Amino acid sequence: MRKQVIQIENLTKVYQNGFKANDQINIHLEEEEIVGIVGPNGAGKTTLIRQILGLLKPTKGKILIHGKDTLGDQRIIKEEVGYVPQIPLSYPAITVIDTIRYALQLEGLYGKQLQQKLDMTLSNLGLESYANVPGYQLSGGLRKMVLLAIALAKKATILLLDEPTSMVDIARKQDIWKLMKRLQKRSILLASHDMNEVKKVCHRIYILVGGRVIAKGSAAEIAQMLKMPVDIEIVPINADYIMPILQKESILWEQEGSLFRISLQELSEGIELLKELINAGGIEYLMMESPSFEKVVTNLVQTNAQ
Amino acid sequence: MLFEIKGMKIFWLQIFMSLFVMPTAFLFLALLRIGPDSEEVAFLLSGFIVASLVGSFFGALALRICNLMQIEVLELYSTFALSKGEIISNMAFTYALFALPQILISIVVLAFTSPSFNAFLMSFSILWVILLIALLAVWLGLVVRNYYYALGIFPLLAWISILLTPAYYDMAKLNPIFQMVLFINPITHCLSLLRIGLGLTPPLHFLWSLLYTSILFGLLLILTLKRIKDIYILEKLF
Ligand SMILES: Nc1ncnc2c1ncn2[C@@H]1O[C@H](COP(=O)(O)OP(=O)(O)OP(=O)(O)O)[C@@H](O)[C@H]1O
Ligand SMILES: [Mg+2]
Repeated sequence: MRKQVIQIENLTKVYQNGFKANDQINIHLEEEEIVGIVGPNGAGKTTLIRQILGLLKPTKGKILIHGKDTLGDQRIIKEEVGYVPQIPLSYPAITVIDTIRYALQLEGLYGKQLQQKLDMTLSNLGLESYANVPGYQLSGGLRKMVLLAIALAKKATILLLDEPTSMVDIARKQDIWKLMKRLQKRSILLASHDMNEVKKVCHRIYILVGGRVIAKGSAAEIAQMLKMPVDIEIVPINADYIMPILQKESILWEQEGSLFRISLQELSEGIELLKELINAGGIEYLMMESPSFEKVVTNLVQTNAQ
Repeated sequence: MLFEIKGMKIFWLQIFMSLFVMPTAFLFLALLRIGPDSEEVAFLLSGFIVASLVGSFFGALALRICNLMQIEVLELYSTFALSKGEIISNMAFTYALFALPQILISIVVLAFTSPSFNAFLMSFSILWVILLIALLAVWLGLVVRNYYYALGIFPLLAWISILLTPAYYDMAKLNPIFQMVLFINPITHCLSLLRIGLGLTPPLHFLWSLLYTSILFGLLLILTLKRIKDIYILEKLF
């Protein structure tokens, strides 16, 4: 196993009004790993991230960054963690370029090196044409891009991204995904509602509902976690051979001209059936909706919310 | 630091008013009384320096510290590689810088009008007083934490502590009970420290005030350092 950069043990957060937003959470993040946190609104994702950052005080449990407990001494957070908040914040009176320059200066850069890194960051995030715009004039999505630029300007080994692409247009989103995958020597914890994003970039995913981790694994593992029904539409080359197979299998199906709609309990049954049909005579047309990651997550969340 | 100052651009009018225009108006009033009695001018101007430090510097800084506990502000700062201690000291330093111009003006006037003006004692006292008031503001800000409470508390607190300081009146003429109250007020001692450089404080009083403020400073420093470690988002607004 690779080195763990964040270890969270039995983390519980009860807000001052008595609301339990995180309940015995155990998660970890390894070196150069991208881990997703998925869950409905109010699941406790932001609460979790704010505790890692030392912005909220945990009620119980431990947070270790590079093996060091962050509760007593927060220096390691400042040095090792970059953060993109969920809220599209900006320094209202300060221009984009000044904001990013300051972030780089705090890393000890100056002179030519500073200028180079500044130009690179601006162009990486497509912010060149906004360089001299003050924060208050930026749109929501652009603010998020600037926040991402600040986070990337840090040499920090860990990035905590709270819905970094939530207001960002699709082209920029794809740029961010590419960028995230390109980053080396960094580990990312990513809270997101975008299943596509999570599936694309995350090595592992935790599903958070009501403050508790209810499932974890890779996107593929999670997609197989529940037995989800599969719908198949086929047009056989020759309708004669299909009848005996469908009747034999005692499965649900209906016919519409040459098109057959077949419903099965799970994916493996579907694959078996298709093999049989192809061997028997072949198919002309196939449409199959396999149990997607999205569907399983929705299902897990719904059953656990009850 | 520079960044904090740049960020204050949007508050320029408020800052200009509270840190410059208002105190300058007071200063003007005090100057109106310049006459043959230069001791009175020294008395009023030193009172003015302390009143302006408490009225604008203390209040503005304490409010800003409470402002930091609001989600958006703390989150925004935490995107940078800044520790909480660094954020706080940057704020204190920036606000002190803004308070300096009118104090410097008063000191220049004092240097020309007060026959017993002592530059060394004056600069020592002024630095010490600014430091103490800054610490007081930071600590109180960290205690109150809630910006909306702070809006109600600090202007009033500043006003009362100026009222209970012999800034513009003579303490000796008060009855003993009031004198006691004034003696507890640290701002009284700040004033007494400033007035030594103008020959208005008896040396014994000066020593007492130095002792009192030193103990207070040490105590506040310990309490503040503890509180800085405990800066978190305010979870409950009301
Ligand atoms: N200061 C607070 N006091 C009490 N409860 C709070 C406080 N802040 C947040 N909560 C509650 O904690 C729960 C978790 O909130 P959190 O912001 O962590 O959710 P989230 O998973 O990030 O949601 P979203 O997807 O909408 O961002 C919510 O039910 C919220 O109402
Ligand atoms: Mg959130």
